[in-house]
Amino acid sequence: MSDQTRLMARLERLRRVAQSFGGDPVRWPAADRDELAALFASDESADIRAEAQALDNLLNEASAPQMEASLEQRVAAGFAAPPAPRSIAAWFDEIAGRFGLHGARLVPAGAIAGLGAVGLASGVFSASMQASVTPESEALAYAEASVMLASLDEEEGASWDAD
Amino acid sequence: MIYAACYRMLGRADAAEDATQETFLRLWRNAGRWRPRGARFETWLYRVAMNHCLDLLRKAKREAPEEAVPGGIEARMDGADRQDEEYFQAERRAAIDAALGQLPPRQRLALTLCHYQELSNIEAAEIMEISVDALESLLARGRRTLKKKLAPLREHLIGQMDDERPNQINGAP
Repeated sequence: MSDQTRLMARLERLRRVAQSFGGDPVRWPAADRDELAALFASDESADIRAEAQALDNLLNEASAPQMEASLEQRVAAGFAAPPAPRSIAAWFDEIAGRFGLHGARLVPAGAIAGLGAVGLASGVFSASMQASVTPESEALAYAEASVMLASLDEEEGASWDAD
Repeated sequence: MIYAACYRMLGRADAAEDATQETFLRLWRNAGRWRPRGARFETWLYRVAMNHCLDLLRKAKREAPEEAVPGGIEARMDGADRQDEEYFQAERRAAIDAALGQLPPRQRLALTLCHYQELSNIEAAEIMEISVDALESLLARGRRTLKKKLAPLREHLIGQMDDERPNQINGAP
């Protein structure tokens, strides 16, 4: 394959990537990013770049989501409503009993679930969470921990069941 | 992240809030149905949320006709002075929102996940339960449709980019 042919092939791939993922290499497939980024900045791809970045700029002008602070409380209230409020320790005991976990096993499981809950809360909500344990944060911890602990009993390779 | 994705899909704050609440209620009710299989919890959560949004969009499409993209903005923009800039920005934003809202739901979902949520192609494909190639195809079609609908605005923007930073596109000197 000649250099010219190779360049044409790479330009074609660049065009497809830019037409799909836009003009910011950060959004490109990792497999293509390094190879195509240099080409993207070169004169040969000026038209591809201008088109992709112009559309990106328009997309970035779309209305931005502004989450109301009260949504966090409303979501947490939804968690808290079905089960009666309990301490996290009592809740872990019940879940652990389901899966035959006792005594010392609870410590790492609870720790993992607790850490996961913090991760979920910080990722799910853009607003910062309070450092102290509140009924809301405890409810979020229940939800995340229930997911994580339930997974302990599942065989590998089982399927997703999203909805 | 879930609220932002719901907002991008549904285009309205109240609908996005309801969808976010519903997503977490489903999480709460169906937590035991999650099966790891090497996939991340975040992927599952996104999938629950986005499936719910797709359902809502399907219902909405059955119940209401599509709105037209506001037209004529580009012609007025050409003659606008600085005082009008804010007004035209708002109009332009409305046109972009409308164009996004008219995309077929799965194209909009692909764009939401990859452009706005900045997920990788692999993560987005997992959430949508499609191949990476199929995702790329959805994105390309979505962006092509937007490019056509927003052509006047896009050309105006390219002109602005050329005027403001000749030879400095993408940070190059």
